[in-house]
Amino acid sequence: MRTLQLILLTTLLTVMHGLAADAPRPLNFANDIVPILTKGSCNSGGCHGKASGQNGFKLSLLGFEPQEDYEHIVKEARGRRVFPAAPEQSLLLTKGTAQVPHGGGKKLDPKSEEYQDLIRWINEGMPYGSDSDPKMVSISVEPPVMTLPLKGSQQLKVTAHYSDGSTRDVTRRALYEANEKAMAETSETGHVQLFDLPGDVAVMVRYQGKVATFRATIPLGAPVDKLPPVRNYIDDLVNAKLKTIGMPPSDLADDSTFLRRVTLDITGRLPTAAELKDFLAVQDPQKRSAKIDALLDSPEYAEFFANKWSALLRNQRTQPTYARGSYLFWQWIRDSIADNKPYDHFVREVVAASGDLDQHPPVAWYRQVKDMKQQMEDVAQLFLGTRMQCAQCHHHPFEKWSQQDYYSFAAFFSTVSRKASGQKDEELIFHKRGTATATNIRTKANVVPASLGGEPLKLKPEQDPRLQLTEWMSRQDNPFFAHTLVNRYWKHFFNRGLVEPEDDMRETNPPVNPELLNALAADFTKSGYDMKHLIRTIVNSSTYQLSAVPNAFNARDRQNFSRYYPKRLNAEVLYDAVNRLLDVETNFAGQAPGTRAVALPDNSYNQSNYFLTVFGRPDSSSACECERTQEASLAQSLHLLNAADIQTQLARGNGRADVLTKDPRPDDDKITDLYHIALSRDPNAAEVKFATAHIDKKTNGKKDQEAFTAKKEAFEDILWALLNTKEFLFNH
Amino acid sequence: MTATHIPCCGPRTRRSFLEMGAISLLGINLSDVLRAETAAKNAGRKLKEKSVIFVWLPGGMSHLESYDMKPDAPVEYRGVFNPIRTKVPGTQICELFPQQAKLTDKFNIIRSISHEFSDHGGGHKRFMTGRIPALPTGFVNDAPSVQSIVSRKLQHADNPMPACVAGVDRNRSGIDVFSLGAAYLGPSATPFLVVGDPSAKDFKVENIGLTPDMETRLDDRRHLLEGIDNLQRDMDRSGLMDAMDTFSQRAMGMLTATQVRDAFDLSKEPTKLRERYGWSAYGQRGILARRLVEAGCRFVTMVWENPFPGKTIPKNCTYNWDSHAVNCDMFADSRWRMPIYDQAVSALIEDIYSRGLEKDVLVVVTGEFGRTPKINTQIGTQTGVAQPGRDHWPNAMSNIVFGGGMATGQIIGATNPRGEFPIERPLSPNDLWATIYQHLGINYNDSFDDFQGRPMPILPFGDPIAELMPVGA
Repeated sequence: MRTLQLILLTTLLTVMHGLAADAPRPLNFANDIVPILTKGSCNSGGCHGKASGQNGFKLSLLGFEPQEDYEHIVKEARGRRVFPAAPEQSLLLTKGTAQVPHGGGKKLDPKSEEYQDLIRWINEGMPYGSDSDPKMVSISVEPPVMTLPLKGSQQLKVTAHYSDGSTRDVTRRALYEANEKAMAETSETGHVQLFDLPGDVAVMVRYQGKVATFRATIPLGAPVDKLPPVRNYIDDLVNAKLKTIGMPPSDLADDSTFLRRVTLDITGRLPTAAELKDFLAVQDPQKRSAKIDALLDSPEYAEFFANKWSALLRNQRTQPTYARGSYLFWQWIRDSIADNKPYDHFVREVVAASGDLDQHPPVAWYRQVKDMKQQMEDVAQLFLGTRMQCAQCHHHPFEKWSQQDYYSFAAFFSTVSRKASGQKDEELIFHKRGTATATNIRTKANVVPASLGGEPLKLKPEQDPRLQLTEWMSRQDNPFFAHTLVNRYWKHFFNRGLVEPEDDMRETNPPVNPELLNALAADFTKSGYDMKHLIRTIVNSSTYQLSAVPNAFNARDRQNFSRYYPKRLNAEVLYDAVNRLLDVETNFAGQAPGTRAVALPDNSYNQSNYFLTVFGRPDSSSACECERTQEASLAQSLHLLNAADIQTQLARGNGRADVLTKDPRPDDDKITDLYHIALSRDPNAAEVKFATAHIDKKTNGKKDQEAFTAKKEAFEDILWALLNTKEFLFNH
Repeated sequence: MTATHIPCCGPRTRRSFLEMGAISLLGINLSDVLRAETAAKNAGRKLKEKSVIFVWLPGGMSHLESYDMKPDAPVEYRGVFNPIRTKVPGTQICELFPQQAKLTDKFNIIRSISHEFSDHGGGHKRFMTGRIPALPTGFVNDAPSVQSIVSRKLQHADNPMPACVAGVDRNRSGIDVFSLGAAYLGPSATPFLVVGDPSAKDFKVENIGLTPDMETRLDDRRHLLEGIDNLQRDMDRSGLMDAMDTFSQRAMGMLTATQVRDAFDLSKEPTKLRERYGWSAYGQRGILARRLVEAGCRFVTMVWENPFPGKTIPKNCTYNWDSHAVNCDMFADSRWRMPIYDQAVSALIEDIYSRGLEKDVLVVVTGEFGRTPKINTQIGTQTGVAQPGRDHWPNAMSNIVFGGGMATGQIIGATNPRGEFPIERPLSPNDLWATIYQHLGINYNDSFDDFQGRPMPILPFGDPIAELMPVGA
């Protein structure tokens, strides 16, 4: 069989050679062979593409270094991998087709075009190609944008464009990936199958380091005749989108729900029963805006957002001597937020920090982020929404960033120097006079600073390159800076970024509402990077104030903001809320009694707190918001249901249950109080009846001390049940 | 190899990962699961799935006082103990191990694993994660521990037991103490900690057993919660609320289902067998590990540090295996510690075989490194007198491995005549992990995304140790 194949093939090739006019294009290793290895995932990070290779055979990750791959395939392993005398006996093919045992299984079908191309390439003596061969410059996908029905499908066509102006259909060899797997799936051959979720989905197409994106809009097509009042441009742009896709939004949330939501989102705490009462009593139509302003002016806003930024800026106390610095840095963050320092100033003072901790506390960032590459990666991810990490060792797989870009950007930090300051384990950070350069590890060439997508900068030795960097970042036309922050804050309030993940903004990961993202960024820039203005704009919008309760059409919406998406209270906020409900004064070592968990200067104060650990408090060890996890776990459930400390606090003398039991008012009122504290709303009649029925059942037929104990236990049970409800655990 | 390779699809959002987890949890009826498991148990001892018992000796056991004696080395290397002959001709181990000596045909000794991290923190991170740690010191691992990877891969909703459990001393109960953190896999992937000394009379697993008070009230409370937990579940499409409901049910199950509680209850074991393991934290954690894998745990880490927590450590001896001269007279410490260890480990070997678990359960006993071959005499901090000790030595160590259907009675690898470094069959901790992943059916070429969305392979390098592959399956 194999012999026959060979004969046929040889005959075919001979025939083809004979027909000079139709002679196939000579094969080029980089253009024709490497894509086959990539499509077969031979050079993926889990296989031969990993740094150590696989079973002695190493390929460059995703084929970014064809020269190296050529060496490994053609010259290594004593030439066993390719065998020109009998191409189909080449190890490359017998392994790839799993004719001999292959750990990766069968990756190549002997009947496929890819297999035939490999055979032809070996037959032709494994040409590498010449320098004059055309190089691929870009790929395009057709169609680029489509409106498609639910459960619709679309075949994509991918074309590679070469330096000589020629093009080639590479649909079969490109790789496809949808950004929302719940909305669409892609086949290996570029066929996109949609599911029954309305909204937008993007399919990233990759081919040899080039990327293109296909975007589909999938309308639901329901009539949208009732829209919430337009309070600002956010509502205009969200409503426009909802109309386009035909998805009617939920109603506006009621006052209780709004108050609980906005208080948790701005200050990280529950509203008090008194606040609730006051808010519900006020008749002013502007009362929501007034409440928002009051919350933004409270010290708790600064504490809560300092908690967020402290984690992202890695404010850690990794050694006991770091306590002073981590406190100073936290205090600086908190004060900056309280003073509403313009965001560009805030960022500049961190990124270009110089001096010692007393002069300028943000130098603490350089204490935790020591390495030039790490500094650059953090700045790129945190402030520019760009993940450069991949480009350290190879060309970024889905982005234009090369290793040259990576090291050029890192060079901004190449002159950062440190020397001992007066205090133990503290340093002074300064720009060391000299030429800023970094070494591209692949080319070994020294590169000078260049902004992302910018030209190399010529700096004088006395110029601190970090000032050039922050100047570029905060330019009005910087495409990354404002977009990243507004998207990060949008996610804070809506539990979903316009781009997800919020710090991975790239062409192949488009926003769900680009007009909205641009409008937010433009407004933020125009306001002089005013953080409170941004928050005020977001939370005053009707979009933010929609109910989480779905209507007949939008229950499955997860990206169009047709309703509010509930989020679990984060670890610190939940801990504070539980303590509030159980009337417990927190006590963290080294902090004033009653200090909220969200107001701790750094995470070492609560490191040993099991509750916070199990509910996903971040360690402040990365610049990624994703370090804070909201996921559920068995340990969390066990803790809420049965933890000894919660049980102790429930049963404590003078605790909430004890005090309520002694309270002479009718049980109905006390139940109402508990609902105010825990859920920030009035209980309905059935809920009051249900709870009082439990009290009656427990106390039935008991007297004196026995009745007291039974009643206290009944209140403990009700408190326990309240803190285990989803309504308590979520902001909704 | 049957595991199919999934092509690298690049960065994924952590949200989509969460969804996958949440979806897999839906629609499970706990009682069905428990019924099925009881039925399976009644049918015989063969486990439904493969599992691992991982005994961890923090501080690092001295290879020269255990499995890699060098009687011909100069006196400042060989120490004071003598090797003895064992069941397997040619295999010699330390005279402090008479019980294991009768069983050397039932386990394997590896003498050639080494690495480069000589700090406890670095050594822990290097060993527990199968990666080169970013920092050579400190215990907080920047990459997920193997236990958290196993948990992510093998924690299924239809198993009421936690996939990964770790037994630790009370004062050593942080997840980071032994670099067991989950890093970018998230805290729900860390092992369930069994804190405290199971040989103590008042031993009780935290959050599992109900307080007597709760026992009677849980039903009431559950009823109450059902009555007031009215938030519309269709508000949330992320799967999180459903996942929380499912976990709550499982937690209730753990609190009330006797099968789960029983798995942690050593009083269900015959006293005789418990005695065979020895009334030490080592022995009782050993039998607890065996009990937990029988109940469905997949990877049980048992930390053997202080054999008798709460009791005074004898003069000249120290808390764990960190036998520096400043901590202890290492020979005195060995005379005290090794017999307890010998009893527990030999009981575990016997027990695994006598219950027919040797194909399904793979057992590894190791520390983070070996000890310096050359004895270092210094003044002890406690004793105030000059005494012998050994320092950290990642260049050579000994471990034992058995079960998993492998051939036993082997010695794998060898060190040079002074026990300084491997001269035969050099291996790394990763080769051990590749062997373990293979046993558990985990494709270690799979990836998990780190905080930046970069796919990081489960095991960046390492190959299964051929001598330890199952035979005659």
